[in-house]
Formats: sequence, structure tokens, C-alpha cells
Amino acid sequence: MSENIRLYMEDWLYNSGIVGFYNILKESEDEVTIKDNYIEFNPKVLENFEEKYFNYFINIYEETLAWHKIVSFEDFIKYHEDTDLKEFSSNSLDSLNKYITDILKRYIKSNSYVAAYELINSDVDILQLEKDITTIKLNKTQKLEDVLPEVKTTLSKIYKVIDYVKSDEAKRYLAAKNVIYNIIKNAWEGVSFLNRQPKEKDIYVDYRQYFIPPVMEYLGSDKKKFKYNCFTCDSEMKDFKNDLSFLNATGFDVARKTSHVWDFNNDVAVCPICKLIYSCVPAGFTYVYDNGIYINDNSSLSNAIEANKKIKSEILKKHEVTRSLTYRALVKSIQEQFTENMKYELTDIQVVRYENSKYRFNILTRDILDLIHKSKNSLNSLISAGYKEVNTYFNIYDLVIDSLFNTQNLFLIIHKLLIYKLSTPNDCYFNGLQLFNVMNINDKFMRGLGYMEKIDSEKDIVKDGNMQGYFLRKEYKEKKAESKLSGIAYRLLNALKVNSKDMFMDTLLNCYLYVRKPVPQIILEGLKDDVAFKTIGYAFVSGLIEGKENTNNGGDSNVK
Amino acid sequence: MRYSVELLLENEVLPKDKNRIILSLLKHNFKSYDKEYYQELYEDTSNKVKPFTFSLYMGNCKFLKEEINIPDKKIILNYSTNDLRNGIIFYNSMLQNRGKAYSIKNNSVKVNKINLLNEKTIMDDAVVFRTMSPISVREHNGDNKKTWYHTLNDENGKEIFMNNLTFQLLNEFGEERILDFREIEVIVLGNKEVKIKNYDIEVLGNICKLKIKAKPYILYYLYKAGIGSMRSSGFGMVDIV
Repeated sequence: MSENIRLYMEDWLYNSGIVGFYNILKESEDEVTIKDNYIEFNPKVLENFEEKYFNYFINIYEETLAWHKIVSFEDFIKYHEDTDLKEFSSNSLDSLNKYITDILKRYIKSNSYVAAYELINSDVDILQLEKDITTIKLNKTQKLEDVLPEVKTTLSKIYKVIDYVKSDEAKRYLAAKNVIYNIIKNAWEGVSFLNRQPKEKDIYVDYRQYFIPPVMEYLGSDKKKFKYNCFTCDSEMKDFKNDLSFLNATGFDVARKTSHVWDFNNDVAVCPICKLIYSCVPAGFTYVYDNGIYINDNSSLSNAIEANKKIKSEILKKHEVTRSLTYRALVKSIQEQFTENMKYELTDIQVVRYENSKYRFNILTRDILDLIHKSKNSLNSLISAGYKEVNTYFNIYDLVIDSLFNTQNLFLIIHKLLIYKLSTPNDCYFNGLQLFNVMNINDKFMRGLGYMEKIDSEKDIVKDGNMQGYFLRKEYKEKKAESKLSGIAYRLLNALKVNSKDMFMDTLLNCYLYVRKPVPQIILEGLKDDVAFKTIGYAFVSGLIEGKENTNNGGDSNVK
Repeated sequence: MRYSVELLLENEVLPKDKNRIILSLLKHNFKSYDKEYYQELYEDTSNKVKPFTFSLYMGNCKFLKEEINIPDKKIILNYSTNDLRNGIIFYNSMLQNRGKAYSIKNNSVKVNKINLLNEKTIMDDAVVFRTMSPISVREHNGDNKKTWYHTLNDENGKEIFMNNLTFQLLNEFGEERILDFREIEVIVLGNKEVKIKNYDIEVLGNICKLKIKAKPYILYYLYKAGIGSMRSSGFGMVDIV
């Protein structure tokens, strides 16, 4: 029994499981050794593993959990009790009411919490407490002072709830419930405590019973008689009972969908140890809402752990948690590499992202890493930029990084942004400078791929194009014909979309004939090269519709 | 790209060798706007094929023995090019010299208005062209003494015209399209021979209507760049009927 177990790195999902497994054991200060490409541990560490498992998630994700949202209101209560409600303003009342409806009532009554109460060893009837708490409303005749006594009792009632929720016993179950549905569910589903009809209500017991005894039994058994091999680690196993159908976007129902395997005979099954490791996948990934990221640095196990640790600390360090954080954390650690002279540590490494219940894969190439580093400032300016499309918000930063990781150019994004800027400016949450930055990044990207060799690299064609667009706008303004510009911009964009220089020049020449000015040299430059034509063309259009003043090398003044 | 440029004359009399004057004006304008481009067109390589053609419209003018009398003191210069860069530089250079008098023999010429003309799109594989400036069918073979100008009225002239046409297209599109060129059919719908004074010699030109059957891209190119020889000195500009 006391023989050490060695697990070797395999595919990305298994690796993330090993990294997660390591993270869990490390958090509980168990003894594990990591060598080049394997992890070694004594089966002793599996004692009480369910506690370690949940502890890890609760500790790491504590601040993002609903549990924390309930508890963190304590500071508010304490502050107002200490000052005896002297500072209690109507704003405070609003936030109190908001807390009661949006957080307290919502979570305390949620199904997952209700199921957990019976497991918690306590005399408090929490649901009754919740019912007693109501929001405080001022009617027209009342002043804030009139309701202060009521506020006071409400605060003390809330305090009781928080006190209950905060207790170790309650935290153990309530926070674990949050962890299950916010974090673990992203990686696997359907078995153990995520089974729709669980036999065992205690999630801790359920986890242990499902994953640990099979491992122990397997370790104690005589493997010589086993006929089959584990699909992942190739060690001997008895039967094909342990399939992978519980893993999201990976497994399939081997009983019903046998067409996935050769000759309809399923051979996809794993040994109990591997299954345990797979249950640790969510600890290897880093999640923000339902987006996850894992860096499959498989050159060595310690690198994999280190790289993902960095990402994790970057994502979870700040309180502000937004969806684009997964990418931003990655970019940040890329940029750190350059400052810390650890050049290209991440080169040619697979990045796995979990998005919309799907796994997406990118390989980070040296060129792209370089580009991301070089466009640091441009990229940072895009963090807050976005647009709305059919009621869905898209973050431009995410889209840009996504395209770059896939080595796709940004013309499509640029085109879209310009069209939206023209047609639905209310759904655009970006300014001309940010658009300009996207074009700059694209310019660097295209040059990095070896396009536009004929164009002088010293020449900032994006800036020049943008300026000329702006100047033309000015001319139109002087002629009081500004309203014509959006129609012109549409025509120019159409021409750019279909790559038609003829159409573009025709429209443009008409514009210049109208204002009786020569066509600027930069436009002629665009005729030499297809990519340069698009780059300059889009820059021109953006200048034409934005009317931006003084870009000043990414400067800040931006007058509409 | 097609432009029409209005040129104003100082007095009514213009020498008959008018293409020469316009060419001089063009060269002067190109040179003053972008010297490098001028050299690229006219100096770096001799006999370079230029991507443009032009024609002149002189209103109710009178052809005298040695000169042309233009009572309106106005010439319309129609200019067409198949090269966007050339088109833009032409526009820019004309604009730059707008209103400046350029002196010619016993007269001076001034650029007044510049208009961009709408180009017709060609969707069919047959088009009837009308000449705006006479088409020149020249048998040259690299020897100035043996150069001969033909008429489209006889078979020999037509054959030489077809050879010139194929040569022109080969130059533009390259060997790989040669099968398309062999399919081209030209029908002369009416022709009038004219004599044009060009650099002190009388040259035979053809003012005609042509029906050409070819791939649309070829027709479009011919529409823009002109047909026949000596296009860049005022021959072979066509319009679609």
C-alpha cells in the first residue's frame, strides 16, 4: 500500500489534471515530488482528499464566490453600528436594499444552498431569518431619520445571517456548493456530487465515495490478471467501466454512442487513478465565470505548474473580475517575460481556452509573442473597448488577441468597427484612437508576416492615411458638405471589402475633384501593394468619419 | 479612369500638329508634379508603353491649310488610362498647373476645368466601339524607313491591326492569356480614312466603328487604354456606343 505512485505527463487534459492534483496537495502541504515529466506521491496523501479538494477551490476562488458576497457585507454593518448610523445616508439605504434583494435573498434561497442547510450542524433556522428581513422603503412623508430604527433592526438581523453563513461549518458546505456550480462544473458533470439524482447528500462524502475507494481497491489488487489497459496511462486494468463521459467536451456516452469507437467496441476507459486525476482538471485550469485557460507547457512539469500559477495569480489577484481577464492575464505574463529577460519561455506552447462549453487551442509562436510585446501600449488601450451586436457585448481586446493567436489579420474586425461606427454609433464603446491602435497592431502584424515589403518600413502609413482622411473631412466641412461623408465612407468601405482599387479610387477621386485638391501621395503608395491599400484605405476611412485631431503618436487629445 | 479637361487658348489659331502640343503639355505637367514619374515614363526606358491615351474635341473648328481655327478658343482634352496611379498623377499634375499659361507656338494654353467621367461597365462579350481619336494601324518592325500606315478598309490592314492588337494585349496580360486573344473577333462597321499631321509627317488614321468580340476583361482594358498604335500620342481612344 505504501508504495509511491508515479504519474507521467500525457495529453493537455491529463496534464491539467496533474497540475490541478499537485495544486490541491500543495495547498494542504502534503508531500509530493515533481521531476521532469512526472509527479510522485504516496497513497497516504489520499486520506481526507475530499477536504483538500474543496479547500483548495474555496481558498483560491474565495473572493469570487457568492458566499463571499454575502459575508463581505459585514464591514458595512460594522461600520454603521460603530458610528451609530450617523453616517447612514440615502445612498447607504440604497445599497442596503440592493444587498437584501440581489444578494441575500437570492443566494440564501437558492436551491443549492437550501439543500446544504440540512447538512450543517446548527440550530439556526436560516430560511426563517431570511423571511424576516425585508427591504426598507421610504414613503413620501417619511424622512431617512424615521426609518433608522428599522434599519438598525434589519442590520442586526442581517448580521445574524452573516454570522451563520460565516461559521466554519456553513462555509464548508455553502462555499463548496458555490465552487461546484461555478468552477468544477466547467470541467466535468454528471457523476458524484454533480449527478442529477445524488444518493448521498453530503458532497464531501459523495466525492470520497465516488473517487477514492476505487483507487485504494485498485492499488491493492493483483494487476497480473488484468487484461485491459488504461486509455490514458496504459497501466493494466480490469474492465472498461470507467469511461470518460463525465468530462465536458471530451467524453461520450459509451453505452449509447458506440459509433465513436472502432467497430463499435468501446476501448476508451481509464483506470481509477486517472479518473481521480481527471476530477482535478478544474484545479489545473483557471476560470473566470465560464471561461477558462490552461497553458499546456509540457516541456516539464515544473514549468507547467509555474506558468499556470502565474496566470492564476494574475487573474485572481484583483477584485475586478471580467470576462476578458483570461486573455489579459496571458498577455501580461507574456509581457513579463520580456521585462524579466526570460525571453520566449512560452514560445510554441499550446494554450487551451475553455469558452462557451468548448475547448479552443492556440499555439503561441515567437512572432506573435513578439508582436504582443511590441504592441503593449496599443493593446492596453483596447481593454475597455467594445461594441454591441444584437444585444451581445463584444470586447475588442479579446477579439484582437483571439485573431492574433490564430494568426488571422484584423481587417475583418476593423471593417466591422468602422461599419458600426457609421451605422450604430450608440452601440460602439470605443473611440477613434482605439480604432487607430487596432489598425496599428494589424499593420505590425502584416509586416511581421512579410507583407508590404515594397513600402518603406519607416513610413507610418496608418497615421498618414488617417491624417489625410481627416484633412479631407476638414475640406468638406469648409464646403458645408459634411453630411455627404458618411455615404462616401460606405462606398469606400465596400470597395475595401471587395478589394477593388478601381472602385475605391473612383470614389476618392470624385471627392478630391469636389474639393479641388490633389490626391495625397499616401494614396498612391497604397496602389503599390494590396495589403498596403487595405491598411491605408481603412486608416483613411477612419480619419474621414472620426475627424480626430492630433494623434501625437498615440496621444490623447481626441476631438469629435 | 477617364477625364475631360477643358483647355483654354489665348487666340484662335492652333497648328495642325496638335497632338504634339498636348503631349508637350502633358510632359510638362508630369515633370513639374513628379519628376521621378516623368522620368519613369519618358526617359528611363525608350519606347516604353504608356498606360494612357487621349483625344481632342475642338467644337466648331475650321481646318485650314496649315492650322486649325478655333473660334471658341477652347479644346476639350479627353484622357483615359487603365492605370490608377497614372490617373491620379495626371489629375494631380493638371490640378497643380491649373490656370497657368503654357506657351506654345504663337499661342498659349491654360488648364481650366477637370472632370472625372463615368466609365461604362462592360458585362457582355461583344461591344461596339466608336473612335474618339483615329486608330493607327502601323507596320513598324523596328525600322523607321519601312514604317507604313495602313487603312482598315483592306484585308492586309485588318491583318496588321489584329497583329498589333495581339501584341498590345500580350504586353499587358502576358503569354498565359494567349488563348483568349486568339478568340478575338473584330468587325469594322464603317471606316473613314483621315490624314493626320503628326510630328511633321502625314499619318493615315482610321475613324471608325468597330464591333469587338472578346472576354469582358479584354474589352474593358481596350476601352480604358485605347486600341492600336501610338495611343499615348493621341491615337486610338475609343468610347462605347
